[in-house]
Amino acid sequence: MPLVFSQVAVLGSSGVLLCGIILLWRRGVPAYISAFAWQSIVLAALTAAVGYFCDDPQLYWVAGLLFAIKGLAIPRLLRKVARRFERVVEPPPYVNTATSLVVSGLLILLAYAAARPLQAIADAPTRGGMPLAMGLLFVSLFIIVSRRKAITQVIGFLMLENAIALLAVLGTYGVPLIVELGVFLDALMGFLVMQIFLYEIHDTFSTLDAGALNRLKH
Amino acid sequence: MVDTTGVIVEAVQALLALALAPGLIGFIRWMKARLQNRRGAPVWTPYFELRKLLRKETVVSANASWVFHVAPFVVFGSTVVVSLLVPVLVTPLPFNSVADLFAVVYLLLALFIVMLAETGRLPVDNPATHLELTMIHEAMILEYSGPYLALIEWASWLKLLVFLTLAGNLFVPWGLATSLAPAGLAIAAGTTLVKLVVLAVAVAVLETRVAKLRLFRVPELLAVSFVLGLLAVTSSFAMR
Repeated sequence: MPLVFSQVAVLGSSGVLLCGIILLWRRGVPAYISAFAWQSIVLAALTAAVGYFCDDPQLYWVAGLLFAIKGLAIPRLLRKVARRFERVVEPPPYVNTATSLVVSGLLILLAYAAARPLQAIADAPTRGGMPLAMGLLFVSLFIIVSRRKAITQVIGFLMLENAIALLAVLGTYGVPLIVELGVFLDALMGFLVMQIFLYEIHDTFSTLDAGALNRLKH
Repeated sequence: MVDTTGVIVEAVQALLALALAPGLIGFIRWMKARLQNRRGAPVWTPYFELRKLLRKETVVSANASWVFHVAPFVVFGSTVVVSLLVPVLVTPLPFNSVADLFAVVYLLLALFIVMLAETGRLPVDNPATHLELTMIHEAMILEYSGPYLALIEWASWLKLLVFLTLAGNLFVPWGLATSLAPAGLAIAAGTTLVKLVVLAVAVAVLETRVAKLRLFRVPELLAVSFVLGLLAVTSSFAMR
């Protein structure tokens, strides 16, 4: 049983990480949004699986919320925002696609190295997925710094959120439901605030290039 | 010790692969046609294509060097040799059926991408076109005709078959024979055929769903494959 559990955990985390890598390869905001939506759905499924294997009914609630908020609601809001900025041409990212893919591969290698001590002390069957969760953490940070369009950076931030949730699920079988609720609300509020920022950036500079914010300096 | 039955089985394996390759390509073409609401040519059309090409005469440019004459044989010969080495029916060592599920997921994806690129299938190259801008495989064989063309085409079909069997047998090794018992071999032949059909359907569906990539994006696709391969290797080392 623990063997199956650890396999499922690692398989699920690989799926979550894979969605992050797919975002790096695909082009266009709608593709990014669907990558994020799929990532959240895989994460929700993994959370439910962890709940099943450790007999923790609370995790089912967390999984349901994940699916509803990050899998359906936020992608929908994102699509609405994206439709409004449809005509805005995305400036090319600071790092080209092939390089950013290789960089993300190296970042995941780094995550494996960084997660070694963590894996050594953890004895949960889910520990195999921890380096992948840390890798996703690095990759989404990399997305945030390497992309110029503000909406892509928002998606990168949401992926970062997912990575932290994944790490929590793998490391401690999920934090208590009340904390999880707070985190969800935080993410949602953060997203709404960022949406206002998007509108403001667009109104001021008529572009979504976050690099344009440098022009505010005097 | 050289086991004669082993050698015979190897040879039979390669011959089987050679015989099946045109059928596989015909099946993929037929499947694609059905998916596009066309009736499609019969599955065995490629066999007739080969027969037709083998009977035709070869036209060679006056400026062609000896490489031009040797290349088809080298291409065909090396592909046949590769098909001897790939486990089509028999493997000397039994695979662990659920060895490393996660490493396998990455590797399968990575291999699938490489396979599409290597055999000139759709996101990378369009196998059904003769338009200059889109052809990669087609550009290499443009000057060939007659039996030479037959050899090269057959080799490229065989390559697809070899890649598909490799993918099928490495990642889903169920039913693969581990000894030379006839019953096991029969089961192996059946399961290999089923795996090939499933993978061929997957290729056909994919080719119907996606458009060809811009040439500039192909290296990026291969970078995805590279990263996935890197991940698979790291995770299998880290899990030791």
